[in-house]
Amino acid sequence: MSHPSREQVVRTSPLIPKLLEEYGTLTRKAMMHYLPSGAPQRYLYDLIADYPLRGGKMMRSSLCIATARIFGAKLEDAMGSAVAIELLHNALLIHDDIEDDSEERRGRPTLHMLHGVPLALNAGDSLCLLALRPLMDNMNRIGPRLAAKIFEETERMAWESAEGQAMELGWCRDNCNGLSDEDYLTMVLKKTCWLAMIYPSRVGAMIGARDGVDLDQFIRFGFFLGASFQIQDDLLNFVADSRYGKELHGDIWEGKRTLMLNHVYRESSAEEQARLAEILGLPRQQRHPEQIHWVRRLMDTYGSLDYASKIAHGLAGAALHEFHGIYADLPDSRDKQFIEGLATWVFERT
Amino acid sequence: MTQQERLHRQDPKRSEPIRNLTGFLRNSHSWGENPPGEEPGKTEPQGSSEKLDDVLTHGVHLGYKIIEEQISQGQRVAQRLRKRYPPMGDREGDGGGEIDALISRLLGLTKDMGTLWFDSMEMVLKTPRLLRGLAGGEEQGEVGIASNLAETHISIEIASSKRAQVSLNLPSRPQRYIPLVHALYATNPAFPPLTGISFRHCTGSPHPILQVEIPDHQPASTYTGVVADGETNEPVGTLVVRVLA
Repeated sequence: MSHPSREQVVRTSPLIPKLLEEYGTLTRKAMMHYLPSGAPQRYLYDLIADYPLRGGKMMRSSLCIATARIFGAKLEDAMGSAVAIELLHNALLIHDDIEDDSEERRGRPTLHMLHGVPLALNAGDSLCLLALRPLMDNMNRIGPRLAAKIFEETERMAWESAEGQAMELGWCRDNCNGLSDEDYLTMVLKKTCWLAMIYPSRVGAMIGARDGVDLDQFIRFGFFLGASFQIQDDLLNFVADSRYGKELHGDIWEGKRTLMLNHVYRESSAEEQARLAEILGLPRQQRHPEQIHWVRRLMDTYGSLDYASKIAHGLAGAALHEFHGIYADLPDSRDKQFIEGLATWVFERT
Repeated sequence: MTQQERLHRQDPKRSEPIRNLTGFLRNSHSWGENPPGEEPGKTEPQGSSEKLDDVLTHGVHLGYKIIEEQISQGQRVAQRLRKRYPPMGDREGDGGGEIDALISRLLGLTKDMGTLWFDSMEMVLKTPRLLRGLAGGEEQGEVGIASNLAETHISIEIASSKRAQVSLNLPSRPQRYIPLVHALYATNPAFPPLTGISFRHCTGSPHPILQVEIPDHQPASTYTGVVADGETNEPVGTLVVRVLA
């Protein structure tokens, strides 16, 4: 089994972590200005600041800034949107953790584990609200018409994300099994790709090129990059490494319909399928470690991790193909190299 | 070992390498079209490299299928919304219809998402700058002249026998640098790039003039490119020329 390991040869240009650090630091600094303080500090504002202060890759905001700069915008023109992206991302993480009953986030207990569901939920709502402020500040920086268009883009992204999340949660609730790869990729397109890749790319291009670029091509690029990113993220869930900040086999514990879980179900015998359905039908708290290990062994038997890894690599290749379609005629730059490098960085990130 | 005893592969039917992506995808059996004689719904055991190549092809094929459907859906929704909310140029009056519609939709969304969002979007409506900008169409001219020319003080001269629109986006004032445009490209690589683009300075005026020459044979399309700083070649803006049929 060749699941992701620390022995992988690193091919990603050092530019990727460098620009992530550079743009991430600037975005985080700008984001801090939007985090309120005062009463009720310990019930709200401390909670709002918790996830943003834990770090994170800052990939989404960096992608937005880099895209905007490639198309000629100044970094400052993209900063409001970059901050909004990170605030929305952190807001959705809080909600996701509650919905999935996750225990860890970025190496620490999740917000609702620390403070309870009601306070965490309220903090997530407030972060969502907070994301509107930099979008409104865009009006002064890049003009009301473009700011309004970005609002419209945000509306679409929010709906797509909500639909994708609903699909995944519904599958878990109804114990849907035998889902196809098409089902999975459609869900990932909505749940992950829009916020992680498509929205930052499109907003960046809108800021940089105004009306001078076809935005549909960023849906293709963002989907392929985002889907390979999500599958790799799911695969990292099978690696016991604290650097990933996620619980080992957490997705199996949560019964998430990943590409690997759908594959192993489809490949299993009728008897194995019945046992899988029984385990996945239990609430998380009633699942036992030996059941989780059995599912994992079954995945090894049927090569489900290799299968998913192959698909992730294929999708990353398609992302590179789409990248060249968009950017080939634009001058070479650090930002262009950065976006191109994301396709390989997806597989080597920690 | 004689020549006849040697094992050899049959010559392939093709006469040259097939590097066409469509042909590459069409040859896979792995997305629901089981190869002849194989039980539907079952696949071979994993492990062989041939099988894994099929898996990779399957993933890419499926990806394109899903994303093209998504884009088509988006286009249908956009067409429907355009009918309900005609763009600014199609409406009489103050030209704020598109934005009015947008704000109404945003309000609808925020009402759906709860009172916090609702309150904040009400605030958007009360923001004087937004309303001023929306009513006046503060940005982006209709034809010919770009959005922020007043800010950047650039005149445009177009030499063309065809109708054309020019959009120039220069976020900073060009007095600090000499603007330069290498060439503008269409999405269709078969179309020749527009190369007759230059900035020049007039005697007695500190502001540059953008000259756009469009050859008579230039195909109708949207040509885009980057405006660079003439000294450092760093991108400072974008230029779009739409050659209309």
